[in-house]
Amino acid sequence: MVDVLSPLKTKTKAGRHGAAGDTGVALGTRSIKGLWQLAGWSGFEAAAEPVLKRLGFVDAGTFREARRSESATAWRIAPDKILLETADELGDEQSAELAVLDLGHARTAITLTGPAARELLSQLIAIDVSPAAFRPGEFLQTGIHHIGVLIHCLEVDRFDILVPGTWAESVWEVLFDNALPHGVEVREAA
Amino acid sequence: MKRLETGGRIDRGKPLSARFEGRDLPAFQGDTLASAMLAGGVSLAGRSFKYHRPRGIYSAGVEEPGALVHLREDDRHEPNARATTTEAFDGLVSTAQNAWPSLGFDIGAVNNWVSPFLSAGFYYKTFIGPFKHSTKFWMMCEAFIRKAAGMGRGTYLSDPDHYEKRNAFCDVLVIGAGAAGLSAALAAGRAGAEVLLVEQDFELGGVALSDPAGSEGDSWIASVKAELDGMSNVRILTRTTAFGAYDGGTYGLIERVSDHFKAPENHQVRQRYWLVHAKRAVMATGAIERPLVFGGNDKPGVMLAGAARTYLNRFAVLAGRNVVVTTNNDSAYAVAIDLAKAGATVTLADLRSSISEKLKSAASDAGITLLPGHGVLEAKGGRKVNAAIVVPVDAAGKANGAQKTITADLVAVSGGWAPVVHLWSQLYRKPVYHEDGACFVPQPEAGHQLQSAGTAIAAASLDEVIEQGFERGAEAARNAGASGDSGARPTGFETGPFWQQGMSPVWAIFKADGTPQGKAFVDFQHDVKISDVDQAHLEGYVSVEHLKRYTTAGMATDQGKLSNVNALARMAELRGLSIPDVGTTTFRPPFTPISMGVLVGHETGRHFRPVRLSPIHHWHAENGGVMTEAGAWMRPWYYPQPDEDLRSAYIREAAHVREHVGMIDVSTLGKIAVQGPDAAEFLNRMYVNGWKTLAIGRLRYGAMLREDGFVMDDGATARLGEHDYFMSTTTANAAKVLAFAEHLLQTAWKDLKVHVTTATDQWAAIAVAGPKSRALLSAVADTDLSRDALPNNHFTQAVIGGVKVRIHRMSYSGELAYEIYIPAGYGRHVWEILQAAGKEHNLRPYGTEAMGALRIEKGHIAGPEIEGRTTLKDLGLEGFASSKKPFVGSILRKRPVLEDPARPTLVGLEIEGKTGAKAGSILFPATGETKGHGDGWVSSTTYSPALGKNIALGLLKNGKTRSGETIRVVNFVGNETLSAKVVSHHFFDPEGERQNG
Repeated sequence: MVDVLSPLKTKTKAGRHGAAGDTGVALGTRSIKGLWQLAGWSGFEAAAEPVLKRLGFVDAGTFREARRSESATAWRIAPDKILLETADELGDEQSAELAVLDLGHARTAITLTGPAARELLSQLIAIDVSPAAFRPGEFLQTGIHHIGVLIHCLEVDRFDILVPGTWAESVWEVLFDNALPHGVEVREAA
Repeated sequence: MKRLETGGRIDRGKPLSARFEGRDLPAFQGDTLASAMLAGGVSLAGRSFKYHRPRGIYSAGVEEPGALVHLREDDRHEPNARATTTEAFDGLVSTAQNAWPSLGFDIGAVNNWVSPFLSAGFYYKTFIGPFKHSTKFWMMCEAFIRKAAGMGRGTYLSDPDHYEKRNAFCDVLVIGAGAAGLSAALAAGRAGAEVLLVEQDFELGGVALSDPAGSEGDSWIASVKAELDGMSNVRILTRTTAFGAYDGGTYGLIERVSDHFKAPENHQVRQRYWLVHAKRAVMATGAIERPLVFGGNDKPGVMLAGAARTYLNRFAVLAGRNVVVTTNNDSAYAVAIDLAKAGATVTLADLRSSISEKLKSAASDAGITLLPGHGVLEAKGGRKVNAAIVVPVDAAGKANGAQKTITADLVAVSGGWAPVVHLWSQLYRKPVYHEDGACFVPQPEAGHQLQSAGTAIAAASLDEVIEQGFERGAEAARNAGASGDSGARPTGFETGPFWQQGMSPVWAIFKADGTPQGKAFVDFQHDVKISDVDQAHLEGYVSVEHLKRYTTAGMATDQGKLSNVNALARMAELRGLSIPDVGTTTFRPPFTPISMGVLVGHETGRHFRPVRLSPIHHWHAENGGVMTEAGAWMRPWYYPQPDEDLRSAYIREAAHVREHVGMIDVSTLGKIAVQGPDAAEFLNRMYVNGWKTLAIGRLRYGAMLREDGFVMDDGATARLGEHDYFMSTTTANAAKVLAFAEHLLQTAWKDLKVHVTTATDQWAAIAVAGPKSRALLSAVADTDLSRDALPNNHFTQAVIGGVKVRIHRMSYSGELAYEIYIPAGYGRHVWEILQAAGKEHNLRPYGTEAMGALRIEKGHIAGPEIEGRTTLKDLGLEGFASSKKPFVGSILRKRPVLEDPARPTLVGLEIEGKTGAKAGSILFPATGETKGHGDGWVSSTTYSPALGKNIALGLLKNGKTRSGETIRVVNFVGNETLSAKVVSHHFFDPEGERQNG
């Protein structure tokens, strides 16, 4: 089995950087099990229902709250689009009513944790990321350094950032440099 | 030494090393540079903008017009720093600016002697008018004028510090942490609102910090601060200036995070730019004391009265021993009394003849010599005030009695106060005139997101200040949705009198004939004298906006803080109008100067713009590839062997492809998934050619137009499945094509069931080209790649090195060639498999320069030809356009001007001689003048290793009929003329035998 090369392979060298003292932010990456886009037209939810059920979801979700099942995570990224992270093969679900697209290599996941993680996000995006406004389970689609990203809040101080692979180094560098005043730890990819 | 033994809010246990002009200053923690300068006996702080007049420390705040200095050294050098707001720090180094050869002896001071010739409008009149048809003289003089006039000098060194941006959201933003702001924050915080309280000073308290240390105000501030500190919903930012107010409750703030250190410590940023989105805001920005206009009112030793009190009570510096205080209002009495109590000999010249008994008594008790109905006609002295000429005045400020000279080393002035209305005015409109306070104030309106409180709206007492602040804070919290109880309003504390009661609106002190005695300034920053205002009036200027621009009063960092009302008052007087009838100017951001660095933030250096990298990028970098920018991408340009330059490398690489096999990373091609049952119809509309017959497993070249009929892009699209297409675009136009397609689907073509999604990041792509490409790929792929199994314009699935890939049979180079599409995470792996297997076949990587040479030899168009001005016909592609269906641009491409047969069309050019043509060169016939736009231009150029000569692509008028003609290729920039023969643009293998082989 050939290993998937992370676009951030050269960046994720374990180490401690920036301000001395407590570590405010830890940056790392994680592998993506598989990423699929389901898209449709009028009647999209009905068209997507069998696939969602198969993955353990009861509905198509909302535009703010991610859905998680045992085998998948779903983000409703548009009225007629859902992004699914799952190891399942969904290519066969393609039909005249449902467009299925493999994006498993199109994104890389940057992990952001730590007590200053929200501060770091507030340095980069013009959306309220305070704990009251951006709660665990919710996600945002926004831009970091002009690059479209999806930010998923997993816990109060833990986030996943899905970034287009070819832009990943630039986004990483912006996150890293902005994190230096907080004290930043880089974690080797899991 | 003017530092008092006791008192002040400085920390005497923490002395600091600070210098001005090489002189050590007795600074302590809690000082500003200005207070340390005064404590060290520095009276001359700088030279004025135009006349190079000596200037001292005039204020204790952001309004400072004179003590502007160079701060720090080397790459942290900073011009125009206000000494009054520069916090003293250990290692502070400052020098004077706008003075040569020294601050004490400044050659530029000669301007002062010729000032009658340098009045308002001097430059316009002298340098523009007399030389009507030429600007040469003006341009020559400009260099000298700019050198003579001006402020500090910047540095060309790179700024070593970092700056940060931060977005913040709150219910209530409170701007200013004086009594009003603290009260507002308290009320809003208690109500449960998310509060952001910002204060430009490094301590909370506002003007209460100018009361003697240990006053009631201290405990009041401490108590409120303690309560605010205990609220988790209140955030306090000191050293933070709100510089701009914008629509939608958006405010710009600058936090000076590390400016109070010699250099930022522990990776901290120097400054932080906050973009605050507030549901409601309270402006508690206070007021700035106004000068009085009299002769010599700009000399070192003349100071705002409130500033003298600040230096005394906050910094324990007695700015003068013999003080003349002159005022038109009550507020200066507290100043005079405190100075007298500190040991100064004080004379108080009050322009008003009627003064309350309470004030008289207080002055008398303090040992002050009170002169009712008197004003200072002139401050005497050279580089430092040594006396004040005091004169009895009438109600209009005109002398009506004998002058007397009073020895003085400090003249403290108060002409009333000007509320700081800048943010409100930026957001809404011009402020309105407040008769009692003789000042401009915001006009509150219900529903305004920003409300004002305290002396910012001319509150007349401390109780009013606290009441207004508290009510505005509670109200803002309610309007923002907070429902808690704000509780009881804090009670006030003892402080000095405010300015409004019994104020006399006298702005200037004149001689009996109505003229000032000596030079009397209304704007210290730009050296605008009262005579300049008079002159503007004489020359017919009536609008305050014109007055401002003609005289420059209120410009630069002053932004009207000190000069506005006095200039307006003079204009009103001259026009026989009231001040409100004359009106005021509009305020614009920023309230105080801000550094460009903080606006830029991190978006500099490697973050100037994001960079896009291929999944195989690091292989190129590790293996000697020289990278070049291609839009946002970094691409391998060429792979030099030892001692090779670009030219020899790309010629070698291109020749190698023709002879053996080469591979290039083409992951940068735009890739768009087109999905849905109407995908073929969508492609039919997007492209000029037809798509309904394209079978699964095949691919087709297509060109698309803009709506105006010009060519927009081209590329190949493969049909992967029944409803599934894979479109490729040029590297440069990928985003534009995707956005255009999305736009059409969301607006004009909502009837189509199609989704377009970028797949550029999903796929790495490698082009393998050359006569041995099939042999190479056959060695690594598990599929039959023979000509019959995979003809041109077909694709197949395959496995290479354990990775599922898609192999497209297509050629950009004119050689037998393939494009391999690989899931991005395996891109480098497959590249390395090919690299290893390629040794047998003499495989070499090639870069974009060789790719360009190969495609020019083949006559393929690219970005230089698809540049927005060319049509299908111009590029010889009209045969692709279907006549059986409409497509984007199908109507407008038929415009007569685009059908003109004389339009430049694509041709090949064989350049004569050893020198290649430069892209952009203009094409002319072999004889005749070489003027104007010529017959066309060179679009792409290269040396062709296959042909052994320099060739080019160009667009030439009537190009199709000029084959064989010799023309001239003129490079006007390089002053070079070449000859070229017009040929077909298909230089190499025009029949396509190699690519179809």
